[in-house]
Amino acid sequence: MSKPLPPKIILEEGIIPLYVEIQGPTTKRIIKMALDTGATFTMIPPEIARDIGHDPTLSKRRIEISTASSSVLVAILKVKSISCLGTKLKNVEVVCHSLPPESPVEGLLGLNFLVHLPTFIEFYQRIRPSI
Amino acid sequence: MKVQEIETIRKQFHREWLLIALGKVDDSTTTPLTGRLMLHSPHRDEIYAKSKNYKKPALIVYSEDSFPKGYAAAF
Repeated sequence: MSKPLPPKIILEEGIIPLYVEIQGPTTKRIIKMALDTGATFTMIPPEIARDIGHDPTLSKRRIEISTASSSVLVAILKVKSISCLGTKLKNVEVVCHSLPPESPVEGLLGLNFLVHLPTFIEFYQRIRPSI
Repeated sequence: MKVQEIETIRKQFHREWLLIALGKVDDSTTTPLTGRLMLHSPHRDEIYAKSKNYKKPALIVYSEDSFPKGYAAAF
């Protein structure tokens, strides 16, 4: 007898939006981000980086990110901490790039944060059991 | 402006960006619970222009969680 299927998830928003706290050297912001298992890095708008005390234009580090439609060279910097779903990570690298204004979220919570979330670790171990 | 529940503030607007001075936050989920509305605008840039000079903790959030009709996400 086959196992009953678990209840289907309905993603009404078409994404998984989460509140994320970004702490910088001067203050903090909470913004909504999309949980994005396709993003290597967490991505925040340059304006939010500026709000919390960074200047992305002065960042010496740049990285080329490959988006769904093109490649873009963007600043990468280290924020003091990122908190989400009860997990707080210190000294986290983020890339600075804005999502289109039609997006209801401002950033992407990428794999460099997700790999530290207990729920994601469990998910990963299930989809990659040989690792 | 008075301190209100975040979801109460969000429901008052349709497709607008909100700048909210942070009140209580549920640390277990990072969910902001209360705050004081400082600015609302359909234009995100106007919110960023004001938040630039606000040095205390704040929430920037859109009033909706979904994309406009006809849009889908492919980040």
